[in-house]
Amino acid sequence: MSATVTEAPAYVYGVSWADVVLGDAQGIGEASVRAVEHGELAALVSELPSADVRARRRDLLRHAEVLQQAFEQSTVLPLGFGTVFESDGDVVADLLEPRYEELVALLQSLDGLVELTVRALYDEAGVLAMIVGDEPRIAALRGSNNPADQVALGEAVSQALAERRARDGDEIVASLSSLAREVAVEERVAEFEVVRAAFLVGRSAVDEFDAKAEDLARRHNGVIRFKLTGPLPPHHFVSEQWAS
Amino acid sequence: MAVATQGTASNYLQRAPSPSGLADVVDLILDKGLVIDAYVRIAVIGIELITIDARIVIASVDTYLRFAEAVNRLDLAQTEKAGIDQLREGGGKAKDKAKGAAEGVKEKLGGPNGSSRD
Amino acid sequence: MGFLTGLLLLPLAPVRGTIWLAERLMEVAEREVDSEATFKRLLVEAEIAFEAGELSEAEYEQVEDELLERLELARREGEGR
Repeated sequence: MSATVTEAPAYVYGVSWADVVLGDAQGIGEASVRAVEHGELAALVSELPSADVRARRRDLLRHAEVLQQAFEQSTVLPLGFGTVFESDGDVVADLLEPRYEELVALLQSLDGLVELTVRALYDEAGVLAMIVGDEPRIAALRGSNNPADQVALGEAVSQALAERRARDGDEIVASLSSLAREVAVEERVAEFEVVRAAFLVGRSAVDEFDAKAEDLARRHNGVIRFKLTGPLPPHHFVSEQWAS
Repeated sequence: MAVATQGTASNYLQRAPSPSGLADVVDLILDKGLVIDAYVRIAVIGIELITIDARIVIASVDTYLRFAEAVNRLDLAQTEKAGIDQLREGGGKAKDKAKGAAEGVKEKLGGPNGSSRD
Repeated sequence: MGFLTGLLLLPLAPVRGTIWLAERLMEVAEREVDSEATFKRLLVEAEIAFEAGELSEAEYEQVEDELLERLELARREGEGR
């Protein structure tokens, strides 16, 4: 089904094969999503109501959801949030046509691969209890009324947390990396965060990856909470091979 | 949502087939994916902002005192039990957001083996 | 500013969890969103609070939107618009 060519601004979610099946997810600003085709490729596009759009959380979630639904049936190259062309014609003239070979090669290299993301957060009480249990010095400083002791206690806990965080993060990444083709580890942004990482995995290995993550969650029960998201389009794994 | 009645296969891991909150999605679509020079970026998400080194805030005496307070308030007899209970019950909202995901992850299998990516 | 600060002025926050969490939410409410890194950190702090039961899902979603707004504001100010 070919797209109606319009002159309105075109918001682009990603690129897929031309036989991509779109889901029913609405796009940004409640616009319907369609495929703009060129040869074997199709850009996933929706018409932007106006160029002056302030993105809300639902827009960010929609961007991801549109890609997710297309991904159920096809390989998808995700774009970052916020790419708009002046028209469908420009999507073809400025993206699909000039970068055709690169896009085809990139899509082919990602056929059959999925992204799984893992985020691990400490249960605050759980990890602090572990720390107190591990270090007699910390246990001894608890309950002291001396303000200097309190600062020393806090510093010791902070230090212990940082060390435990690094160790746990490394263990988790190492354990799951053995099943992945590629790994992307993000920077932690909060103290009680253990790790956030993305793994590129063959579809046939997803079950095994899931089981391994489940095992980690079981072993760290009460101290670390694990969240596994996916299979997702390979958001983390497309930009390196792409020169913008 | 029947969480506790499932077998050991899926009691501990929280799963979501797709991102359910902003904290999940920002890692995927901000500064990720293909970056295209196009007509306009929807310029509300600070892509052009100077990115400060994303290290965790350097600890200060304030932070230490907060840690001390948190540790002092621990009821160690309760903590382990509470920690486990907290997770079994899904910590409140977290499991509600998972949307029956365990099945979702497995249903997507069955595709061909991935080719090597070189 | 806005929604989250108002929420924390209610005498509810410390009751639901540790004082630490309430203080972290206060930081989410007050800290200037000067970079994407800060935005992400405040977002994760809010998420932790939500998962600990400090915020309802509706409240959490509102915080997400508010953080986006403040990020946008900071970006515009940074560009001197």
